[in-house]
Amino acid sequence: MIQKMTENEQQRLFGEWLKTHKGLFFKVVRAYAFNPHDQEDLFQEIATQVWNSVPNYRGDSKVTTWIYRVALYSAIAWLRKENRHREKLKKIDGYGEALLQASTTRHPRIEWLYDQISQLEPIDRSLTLMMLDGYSYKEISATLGITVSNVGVKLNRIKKRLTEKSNEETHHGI
Amino acid sequence: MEFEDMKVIWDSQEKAPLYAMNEEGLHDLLRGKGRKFRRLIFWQQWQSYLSSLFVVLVIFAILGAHFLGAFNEPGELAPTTGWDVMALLVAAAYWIQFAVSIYIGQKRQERREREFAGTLLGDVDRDIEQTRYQITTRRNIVTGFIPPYVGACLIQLVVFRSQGLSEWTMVPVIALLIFCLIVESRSQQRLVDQTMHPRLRELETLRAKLTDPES
Repeated sequence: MIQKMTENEQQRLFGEWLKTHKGLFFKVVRAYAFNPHDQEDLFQEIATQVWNSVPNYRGDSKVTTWIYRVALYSAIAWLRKENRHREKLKKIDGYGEALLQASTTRHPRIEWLYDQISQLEPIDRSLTLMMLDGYSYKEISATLGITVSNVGVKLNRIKKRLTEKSNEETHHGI
Repeated sequence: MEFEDMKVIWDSQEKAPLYAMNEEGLHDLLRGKGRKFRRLIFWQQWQSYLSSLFVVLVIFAILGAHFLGAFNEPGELAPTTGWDVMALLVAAAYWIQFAVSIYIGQKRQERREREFAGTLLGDVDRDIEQTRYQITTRRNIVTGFIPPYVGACLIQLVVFRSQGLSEWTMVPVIALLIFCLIVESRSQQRLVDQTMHPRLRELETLRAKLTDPES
């Protein structure tokens, strides 16, 4: 029989995940939202979905791939209803900001990379983030639910595109 | 620049993260949202059950009064007949059937949703299934509402009769109920056309993009 998780356990586990994998949250936010308001909104959305998903985590997969799956799908779903979210942001402003800008100085190479990612299709952004974070084709395939060969085809195309872009845009100092 | 160089650039952001977190603010937000969400789900689930329970209790109160002989006392109320009792029992059965069908529908949907794989594609498939379920439910809303509406008409009929009113006074009530049903059906259809179908198309496109290597 499946035991129901208490809210305290949920909070403890979520706190741990947030502490250990906050970089993952930030990368997804940065790849899918492009101004501070949207980033705040998306961060809240991802945090909420990950929080809701905690009781369903059974340990069958790595915590990072679980968080990635939830965060990526939240981001893709958030993109679809962006306008509605803008309205919602006004309503949840009362809670204060959950995401703070840590640094105003941005590394131009990382900025360039995020710019390139932002120009990709939402699904391709998911693949790119996982690829850059060093996940294998097999892990990406298991997280997204598509075949390994499909992942390979898509990633080869993305890699080719990114390489071509970087060669074209030398003025970015890369 | 090759992909391996991009990977090095990418990994360098771990040293200086772009954001910081207001953990306390986030936990306040999540607790607040959680409470709101649980309240919403609770009321959505219980609205239909409570209204059905209320109607059934009213019916049994009338039946109780009938069997205790309250309607046989000389006064303003006409005595209830065997047909009235039958009409009330049928009305109660319709309302119970309404609540049970909602309960069964929800349980079936929950079971179906658990069957989807814990992957991004599984999430998309689950949302497609949810949207299709919503479309079907909202399209069939008229059929679903007929039993409680008929039940309401039967109760009205008994109440009107016990007050000595002619059966013809039921006509405007029935017309009003039919009008409400048509308005409800139209508004659900509009919701399906304007929100659900575009959402379904978007999800199906997303699924195609995810599964098609060439897209």
